[in-house]
Amino acid sequence: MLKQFALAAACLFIADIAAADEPAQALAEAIANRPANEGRAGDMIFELTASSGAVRNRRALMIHSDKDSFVRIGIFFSAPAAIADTAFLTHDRPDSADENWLYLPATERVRRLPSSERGSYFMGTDLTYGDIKDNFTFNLNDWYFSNGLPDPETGLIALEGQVRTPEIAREIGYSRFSALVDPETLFPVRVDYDDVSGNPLKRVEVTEQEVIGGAWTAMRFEAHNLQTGHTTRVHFENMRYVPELDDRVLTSGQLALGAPAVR
Amino acid sequence: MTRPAASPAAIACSAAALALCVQTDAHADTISGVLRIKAQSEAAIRLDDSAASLARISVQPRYLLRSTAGWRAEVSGRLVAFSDETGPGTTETFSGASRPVDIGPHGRIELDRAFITLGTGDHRFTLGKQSLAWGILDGLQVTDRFDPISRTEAVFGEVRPQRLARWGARWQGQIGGMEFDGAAAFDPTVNQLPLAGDAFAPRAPRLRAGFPQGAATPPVMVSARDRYLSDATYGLRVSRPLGHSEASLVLISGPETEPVFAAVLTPAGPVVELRYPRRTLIGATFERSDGPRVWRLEAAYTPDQPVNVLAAPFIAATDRPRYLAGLGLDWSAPNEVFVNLQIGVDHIDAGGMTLVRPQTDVIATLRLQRAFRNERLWLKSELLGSLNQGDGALRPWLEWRQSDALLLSLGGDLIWGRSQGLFGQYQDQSRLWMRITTNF
Repeated sequence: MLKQFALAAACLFIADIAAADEPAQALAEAIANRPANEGRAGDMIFELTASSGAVRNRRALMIHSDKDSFVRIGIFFSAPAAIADTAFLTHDRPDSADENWLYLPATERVRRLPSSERGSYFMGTDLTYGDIKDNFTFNLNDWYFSNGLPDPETGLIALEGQVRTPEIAREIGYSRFSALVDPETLFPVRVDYDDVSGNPLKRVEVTEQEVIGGAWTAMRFEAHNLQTGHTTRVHFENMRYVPELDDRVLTSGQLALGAPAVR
Repeated sequence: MTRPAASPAAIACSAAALALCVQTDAHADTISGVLRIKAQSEAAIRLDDSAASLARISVQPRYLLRSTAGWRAEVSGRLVAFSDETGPGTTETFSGASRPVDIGPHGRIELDRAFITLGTGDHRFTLGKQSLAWGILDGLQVTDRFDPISRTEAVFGEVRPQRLARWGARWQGQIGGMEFDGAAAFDPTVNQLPLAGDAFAPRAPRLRAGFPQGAATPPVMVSARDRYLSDATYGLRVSRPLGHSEASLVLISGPETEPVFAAVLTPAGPVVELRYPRRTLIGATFERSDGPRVWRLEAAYTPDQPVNVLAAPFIAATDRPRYLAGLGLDWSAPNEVFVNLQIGVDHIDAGGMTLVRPQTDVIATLRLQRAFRNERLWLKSELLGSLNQGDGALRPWLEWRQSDALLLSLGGDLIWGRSQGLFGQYQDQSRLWMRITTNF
C-alpha cells in the first residue's frame, strides 16, 4: 500500500513538471511517429538464456503491418516442435483498445486475449506483450516524459518517463524508464525499466538496426531481466519489405492455418 | 463389445489421404515438408488401491506439407501401447473409414488427421479427415457439438474435449464482412466410449438408461456406423466481428454424440443397442474483451434431443427440447495469475416424463494457472463441479519444461460425490498421474 501511495504521489508530482518538459515530449512524439514501412516480414529468432546458463530457442515468422496508423503484428512459431504452430496476433488502432488473439494447437482454437494484457510476458521471453506491440516506442498516453537532452557520454539523447497512473503501471508492468535514443533513427537503443514497485527490472538494448523499405527497423535486440538474471536475445533473418501485404494474412481466422506464405 | 477389424473403406480413405498429401502442383513455387513427432509416456496410480490405472506409451508422428502457392496438407497418426485399466476405448462407435486398428491386446494404431487445405484468398476448402473446433467456452460444450468426442478418460484427459476427426469437407469464406464456416462430415463416427469394466466406464444410472451400477443388463451393441450419407453431419457457422466483440450463429444437424439406449430383440436374445439419432442444434456465441477480462457467452437449442426416459421394465427413449447455455470469464488477475471461470446450464424439457438424468444440470469450472521462471514451470489447477448434484473434482498439476524437447507433468484428479453424479460416479478413480512428453 505504501509503495502504491508513493507511486501515486510521484505521478502527481511528475504531472506538474511534465507540462514544461517540451523537448522530452517532442522527442517521445517523434519516436512514436517514427516512419514505419507499410509491411514487413522476417524470421524472428529468440534465444532465451536462464541465469543458470540453460538456453532455449524459438523461431517464428513475424509479419508487421502499419497502414494508416492501424498496426497489426502476427507471430507464427515454427520451432521448437513443442510450440510449433502457436500463433499470436495483435491489432492496435489509435482510437480504441488493442485486440489480441492466440492460437494454441493443442486446443485447435483461436482464443481472444484480454486487451489490457500488456504487462504479461510473451511466450516465456523477457519481453511483455506491450513490448512486442510498442515496437520500441513509448505510448504517449502512458508516460510523463522528461529530459530530452543529449547525453554527454554517448552523444545519444536521454529520455526519461514516469508512468501517469498506478493503474497504467500495473497494466504495463513498469513505473519508470530511462532511455538513450539514437537521434538519427529515433530508436531507443537502451532502455532501463523499473517495476511497479520502483525497483530496477530490466534493460532492453537494440544492438543492430537496418533500413527496411525506407524505414529503420530493429534487427537485433536483447532484454535482460535484472531481477532474475534471465536474458532474451532476438534477431531477424530474411527480413524483407512487403508493401503489398494481403490484409487477410493478419486476421484471427488465419492463425489456425499456420504461418502464411509471404513473399 | 467387440473390436471390428479395419475395413476396406478405412484403407481406401487412408490411401486417398496420402495421395492428397503427396501430390504436387506443377505451378507451385516452393513446397516444404516437415515431420514432427510427439512421444508420450503416461502413468497413473489409483488412490483407492494403488493400482496402475493408466500405463501407456504413444508415438504421434505428424507430417506437414506447405506450398507458397497457398495449399497445405497434414497427415498425422498415433501408435499407442497400453496395459492399464483405462483402456483404449471402443472402436465400433467409429465408421469403418475412421476406425482405429488394434494390434494385439495392448496396441492400437490410428490415423488422426489427413487433410489438404486449398485457397488463400477469401475462400478456403479443406478436404479429408479433420476436426472442427467450434464454440468459445473451454470444455463446456454448448455449440461445440460438431465433432465426436473420446470419453475414455471421461473429462480427465490431457485436453478437454478430446476430439475425433472425421472424413469430410469444409469451406471457410469471407463475404461482406462476415465469416462463413460450413462443413459436412460424411463419416458416421459418433464417439469413443470406455469398454465395460474400464476405469471410466459410466456407472451412474443417468448414463446407463436408468440401470444402476451392477444391475444385470443384456449385451450391449452399437448401431451400425456405416451410413455415410444418411448419418452425415452438416454444420454452418456465421460470425461477425463487432468492435471488440464477436458474435456468431451456429447450426448443426447430425447424429447425436451421446448414446440413447434401446432394447432390441435379436435371434440370440434381447440386446441393448446404443443409438445415435439425428438431432439439430441452433446456437449462438458472443465474446467480448473488456480490459483485463474476456467474457464469453454461448447458448443453444435442440428441439429434438433424443433422451432416455424411465418406463420400467422397458428401456424407452423420446425426443425432447434441450436448452444449453454457458457463460465464461477469462481474467488476467494480479501477479500474472490467469483465471478462467465458467458456468453452464443444461436443461431438458421433460414434458411430464421422468428422464434418466436430471432435468437441469448446472456445471461450474474454475481454472487458475501461473507460470514461473519464464514459463519453465507452470502451476495449474482446475475445479470442476456439478452444482445441482454436489459432486466434483479438483485437478491440480504442475508442468516442468526441462528443455525445448522435454516436458514433465505431474498431477492429481481428486474426485468426490455420489455414484449417481456426473463426477461422483468416478469417485473411486481418483488418481495421481505423471506424464513425460517429448517433441522433436
